[in-house]
Amino acid sequence: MAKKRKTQEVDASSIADIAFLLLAFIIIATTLEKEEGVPAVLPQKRDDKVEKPPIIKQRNILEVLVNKNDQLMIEGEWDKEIEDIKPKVIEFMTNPYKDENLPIMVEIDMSTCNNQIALLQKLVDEGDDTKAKKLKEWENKKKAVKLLGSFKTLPKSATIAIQYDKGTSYGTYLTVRDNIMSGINELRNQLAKEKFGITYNELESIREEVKTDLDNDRIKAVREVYPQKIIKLPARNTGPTN
Amino acid sequence: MPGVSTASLPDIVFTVLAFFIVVSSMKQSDLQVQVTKPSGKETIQLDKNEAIDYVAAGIPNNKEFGKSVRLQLDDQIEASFLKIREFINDKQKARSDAENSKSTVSIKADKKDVTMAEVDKIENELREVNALRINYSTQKEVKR
Repeated sequence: MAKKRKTQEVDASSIADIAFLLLAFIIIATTLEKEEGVPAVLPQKRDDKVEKPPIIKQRNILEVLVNKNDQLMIEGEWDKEIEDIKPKVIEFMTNPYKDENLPIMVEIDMSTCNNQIALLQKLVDEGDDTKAKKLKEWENKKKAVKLLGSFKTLPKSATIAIQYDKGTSYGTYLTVRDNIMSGINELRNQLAKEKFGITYNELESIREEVKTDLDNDRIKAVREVYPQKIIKLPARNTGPTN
Repeated sequence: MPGVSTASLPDIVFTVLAFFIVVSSMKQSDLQVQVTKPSGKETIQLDKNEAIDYVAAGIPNNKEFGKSVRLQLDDQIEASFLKIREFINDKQKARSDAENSKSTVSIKADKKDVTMAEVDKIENELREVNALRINYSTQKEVKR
């Protein structure tokens, strides 16, 4: 005894309202802001507390010090400005005029790499596992030479040290760190632009999905030439001398 | 005059909705400590697909917590830096080892109020729990 009637259509006009409500909720509950920052890797925790830090020659350290009044000292000179950091870093990492107080650049070419690899390979084959890490390092250098040709780089021990006081403000420390990075990045950009026609920053910002092995190798090669070795040291005595 | 047909309106709105869902991410719990992030030029954007834990440090908004620098871990205001270990351990337990190996701890600290002594304490605690990949959270520098 069912009544014959037209199938009723569902009224769809309220779907728009529902969708608008959802939209409003999502906009409120989410953020477009990307998390930005300065990346860093902390040193591993040392079990051995008495382990002595390796002695590094004075010329192989670029010392940047910030005291508790946020005053800056670069290589023993007070009254420096934040802007002075970048040129100092570039000078330190290239030592263009063979300054005696700056690191002696190490020339890396194909034959040195091959010699070292052959030498180390022999030792590793003989069972000396301690050399395995070193072998890897030279293999990476060889890869870099293949892409870039022979290059000059800092000696292995060369380091940029940021010394700070316990009272140094976090903001100033980070600005100093940022400016050091900016010096290193400028060199990296120059090199990459010259050799590959694309800056280092552009290489880095290629999205992970479309990054090729070649891109990654190029990034590694540039890093090999201009390594980012920044250490952070709590300073003991940071009062200005006057 | 015939009215404009609104039949396609839901489709349009759903498209917009889908767009927002894709490009945005859930808001972090609101900061209860005052943080003015330092600015930087050489910053990178963190990959949202990798796990990020947040450690915030600053002077609490709520005066009941005092006027010195406190930590905020998730929604909790903490005075003790030792709590970081527990916090990171809990976070790591909830993830797989593969995810943990790529996870980052982002430090959101106030540029004026927080001193290096506090940053050191945070970093030492992170080293204790082997969370070595960190990020100093910054804001974009206004281009001059």
